[in-house]
Amino acid sequence: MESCTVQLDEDTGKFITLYLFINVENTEEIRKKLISGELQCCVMKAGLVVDLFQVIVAANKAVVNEKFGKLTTRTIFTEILFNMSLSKNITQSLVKFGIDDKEKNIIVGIIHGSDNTEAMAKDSLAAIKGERVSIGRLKEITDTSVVKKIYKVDESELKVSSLVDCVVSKMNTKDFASY
Amino acid sequence: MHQVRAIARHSGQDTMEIKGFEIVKQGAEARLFKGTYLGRPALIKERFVKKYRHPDLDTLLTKDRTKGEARAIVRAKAAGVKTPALFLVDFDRRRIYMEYINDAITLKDYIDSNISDKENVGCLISFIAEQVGSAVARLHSRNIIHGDLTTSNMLLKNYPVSQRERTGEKDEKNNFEGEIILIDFGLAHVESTAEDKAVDLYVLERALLSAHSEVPSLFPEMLQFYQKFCTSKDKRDVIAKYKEVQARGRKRLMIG
Repeated sequence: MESCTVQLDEDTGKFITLYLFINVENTEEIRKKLISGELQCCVMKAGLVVDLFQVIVAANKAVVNEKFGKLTTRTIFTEILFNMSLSKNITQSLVKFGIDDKEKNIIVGIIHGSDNTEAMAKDSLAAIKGERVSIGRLKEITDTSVVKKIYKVDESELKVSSLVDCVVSKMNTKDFASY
Repeated sequence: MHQVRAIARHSGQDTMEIKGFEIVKQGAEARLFKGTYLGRPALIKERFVKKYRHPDLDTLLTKDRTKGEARAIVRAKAAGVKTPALFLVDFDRRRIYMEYINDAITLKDYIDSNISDKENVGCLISFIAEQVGSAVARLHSRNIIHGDLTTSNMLLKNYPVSQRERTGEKDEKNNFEGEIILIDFGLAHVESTAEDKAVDLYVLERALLSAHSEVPSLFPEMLQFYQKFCTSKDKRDVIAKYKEVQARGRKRLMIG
């Protein structure tokens, strides 16, 4: 199945690979494994992602902050969820973008170096009981109206730029602007 | 010890090259690099170290200006003015990574090649005046001051190149609304006083006067559209103040 790999900031030497799953049955289990650290990946609600670029920007900020020793949360994976949120409250951010036990559609993000994708992905992907589908189907899953509400994007803004551009611009200024 | 390390880092940090990027412009405060970032065309604005400043002060000033610029870009976007999307704001490397706007030209180049010394360009002038006037009005309605409104800091996309195109059928493609893009918010700030807005307009007038003196009707027309689109309560005050500023210049009189 089609996945998506993007090179993150050159200076970090990191990459992210993203997978989309639908009809996931064991979210509760996945969540426990994530919290215990058994799964080394980032898992989020697919409905809140308008475009993969949104996740890529959040992940890029996370790896850059990691390089400069400036992570706000404890791991790079929680940092991605925190970066996606406009809130400065860590718990709220993780609850909002991370999975809860009811979640069916999820995006899995794996951070890796230039070579070892498959090995890193294998364990994480094996733990997910659901249907892995093409990344292109994300647009069927995204709940655009909820995304607009969460990121406080109004119509005048959408006249001059795409929703994903509004979202990433706001994400990037959350540390020093209030929304 | 701490301070020594800070100074050492400070002096050795000037980037002239960024891998995969080419330098496109160098200003008084920053360099611009063009390339690809996270799979999209990108522009990096890197504020370089000013060696004559105390390192701590330099870091602080750069951080504040980077913050201010990023904040203003996002606010302007929310006000309905087209600005580049932000990909990363990085205080450690003193950079803002943003969207590179493809297929656009500066308003300055557009006016120079399509309006200056040409005949029958009234419609194009009105088009430009409306675009700029309404964009500045939208900024000011949300109390955003750009601080450096010049035709080099405005980009134009999907522009009409002739009279016929402008007056032709207004279908989806020919709808030029929102196609002006404001850039370089390095001097921007949020201020609600009529004085600041008036000075912002005055800076624009002076910029037009020096760069496009052959198109004298441009600014008066812009001002008309500005008044038409400005929704803030202090609109009258701004215009009154503007006349005052025009009479005395940008700097305020300081007596006492």
